[in-house]
Amino acid sequence: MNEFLSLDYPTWWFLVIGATFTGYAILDGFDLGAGAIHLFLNKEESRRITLNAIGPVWDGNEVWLVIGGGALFAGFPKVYASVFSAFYIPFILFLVMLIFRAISIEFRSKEKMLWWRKFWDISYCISSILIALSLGIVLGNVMLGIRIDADGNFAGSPLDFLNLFSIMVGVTTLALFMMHGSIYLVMKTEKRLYTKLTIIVKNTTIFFAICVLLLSFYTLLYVPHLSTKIKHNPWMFFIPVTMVLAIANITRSVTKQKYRQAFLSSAVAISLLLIIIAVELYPNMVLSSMDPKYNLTVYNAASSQKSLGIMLIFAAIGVPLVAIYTIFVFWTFKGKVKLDDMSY
Amino acid sequence: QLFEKRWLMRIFVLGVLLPQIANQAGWFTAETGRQPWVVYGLLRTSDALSKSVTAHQILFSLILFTVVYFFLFALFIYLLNKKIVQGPFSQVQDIHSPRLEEMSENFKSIQ
Repeated sequence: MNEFLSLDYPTWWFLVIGATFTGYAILDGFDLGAGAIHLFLNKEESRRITLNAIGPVWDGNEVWLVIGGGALFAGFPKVYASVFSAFYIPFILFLVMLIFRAISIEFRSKEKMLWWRKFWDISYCISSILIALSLGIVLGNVMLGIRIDADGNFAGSPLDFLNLFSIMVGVTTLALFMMHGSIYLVMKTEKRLYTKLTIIVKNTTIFFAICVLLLSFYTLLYVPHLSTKIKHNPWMFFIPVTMVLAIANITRSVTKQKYRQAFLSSAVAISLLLIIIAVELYPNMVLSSMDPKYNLTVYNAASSQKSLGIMLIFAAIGVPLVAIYTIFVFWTFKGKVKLDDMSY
Repeated sequence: QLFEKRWLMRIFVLGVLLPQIANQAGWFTAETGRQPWVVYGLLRTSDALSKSVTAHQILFSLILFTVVYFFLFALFIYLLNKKIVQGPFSQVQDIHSPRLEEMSENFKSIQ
């Protein structure tokens, strides 16, 4: 087993994938959230402004999903194969929803007809909501465990992915993204739309707080394997504590109208949620509800040591580059949104 | 003067299809030529199938993608046609951007 800085390669890849998916959640989270609240805004100009708020960045943000998926394929191909084949139809529908979100944004403003714009508005909102829900449902299933046999093949029925826990995780993800998205939009707008969005921020934060509370209770009561590590390592309790404080800081920053702080707290809350999940799952990646010895771990699902080593070098160069240009794009388009001839 | 011959313009319009055809022909060659191997000499296509995905699911996804892509293609043709008919100038005439003016100077010389 090769090591780098006292962590072996599979563990490093676990961290890389965790980091890229966390980056994706923080970045595309607000795009999807902005889409999910789109139909709550009634005026044409409001909808155009919010579309342009995510305009320059949404495409680059979606790239992080590709990086995460690619890293999963390269580093842990057995997990990629098992999970994607197990949930084949949901994944296909997820892809179609991604297509529809992208084209809704691009095609919406190409025609002036009311029915055209309304159609793409509804398409944009529904696809964003379904994408957020699907991401949460897949995460929930991975956390809960799926019926995979010794070869990693799925042995359950097609609708297994719709269980209560996964649906709760899905709804919590949607609420989280809606809150995150409305905070971002509030940073980017002014005057009347700003006022309307502050109300939406408050409501979505309450929605998210309720969801995360219910999810936490349900997890502690009915899904014991998801709290074993933190239970046996009491020093880890600071992670959920920090997460709760981050969520509380969101409301505090919002009342003080310091939206950048609220956005950062929201990003921190997302990261800590995913860190808790990662801590609980490691070293398993996909749990098998048939038999624990069929679990896919970072060790039995990984590529060869040579592949992992080479790709770690690429990841070490590539991921910082992506982070740098992402920051550059955000810095270039900082400030409030102003509509002009070239806007959506 | 070459740019003023209508018969040549017509050939150029049809010529846009040629790279598409070449591209597709290349892909057909590559994908049918590689059979029965997915990884040449190491893995056959029939051994590379996912065991948990049924034929019905694959058919469903194939039909779904075909429908979605036809829909997208139709939209593309419609919007592209509108844009071509409208021409390269912005609809709002009172925008004075140096870039737009530079572009329109280049197009005016072709008239």
